[in-house]
Amino acid sequence: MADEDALDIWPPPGVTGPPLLSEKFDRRIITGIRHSVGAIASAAGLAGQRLDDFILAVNEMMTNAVRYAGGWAG
Amino acid sequence: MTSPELGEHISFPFDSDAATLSFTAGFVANGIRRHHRVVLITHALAPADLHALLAARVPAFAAAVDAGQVLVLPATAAQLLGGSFDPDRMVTDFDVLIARTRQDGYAGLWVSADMSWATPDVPGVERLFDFEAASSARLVGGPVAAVCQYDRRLFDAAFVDQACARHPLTPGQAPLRFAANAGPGVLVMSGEADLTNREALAAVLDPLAGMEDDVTVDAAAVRFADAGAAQLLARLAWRRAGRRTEIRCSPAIERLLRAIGADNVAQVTIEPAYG
Repeated sequence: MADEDALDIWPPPGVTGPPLLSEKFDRRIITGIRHSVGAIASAAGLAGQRLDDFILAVNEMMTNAVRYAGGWAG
Repeated sequence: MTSPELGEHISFPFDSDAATLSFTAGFVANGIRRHHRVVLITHALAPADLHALLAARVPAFAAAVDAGQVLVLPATAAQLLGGSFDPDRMVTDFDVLIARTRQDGYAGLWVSADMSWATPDVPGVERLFDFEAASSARLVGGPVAAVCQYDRRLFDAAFVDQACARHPLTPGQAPLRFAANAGPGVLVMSGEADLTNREALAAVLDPLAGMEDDVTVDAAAVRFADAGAAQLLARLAWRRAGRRTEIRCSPAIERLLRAIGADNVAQVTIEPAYG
């Protein structure tokens, strides 16, 4: 569910090319997004401890967002 | 998840009549085939209506009802008996049901409950979430598998999310499975632990905190644990300070546990294992 609003901050400094994943999420789908992040990051070449760390970091950011922000407007 | 293993506690949120009926029909058909007693608790539909719908979809249904293998009960005769929700009464009633299931020669008891009765006006409903979490712990290693079906059209999203987090298993969310047959004080867990099953994990770990003997949590087959789940494991060890706690887990979870200081707790062993 790519959304133009979500891409306003793209690209971050020093990054070229399209985002590999752009999704809105809520509590119900953090597990599924985490799986997608793992598959995409792995396909992009991340492996081992760096891959574990990246998946965990994204998971914790999503978890904090759904716990303390709650969801998207509208 | 229409064919659970005994000990599993599953939430099934649904948003259409077709979805709940299809799930329930699959659940009943599998339960009959696997020789379990199947108890369906219904609220949105009258028992006779659910019976008719299932009889049209599950070939063996009517015969299984006649034989006493399948029971269809209204919530007013179960969770809502006497007009209020009383978790203590539920536990007592289930013990009776389990004993009868054994006497009647069934290997296990499968329960599917339509949770539509759990509206804010029901006396005692404020105890539902604690009951759901405690049920996740109580069912581990026992002869019961239970599915709680929540109608998303009836409850707000936050309520359903909170309910689901108290079940180790919800379709599409992180699955956790537990086994308690590896000996006293040993809990074996597998799957994934994140925000979507955190309260269930907390409830399953809780009874281990008070055990006098050594405790081993064998999480070697856990593929992912988030920081909240790691915190629960660390907290278990901390609550047991002075008594031995061993946590077996993947190298990734071991690093996470050390990062949050779990290895500073007295008498804890964090053992890397490959699941």
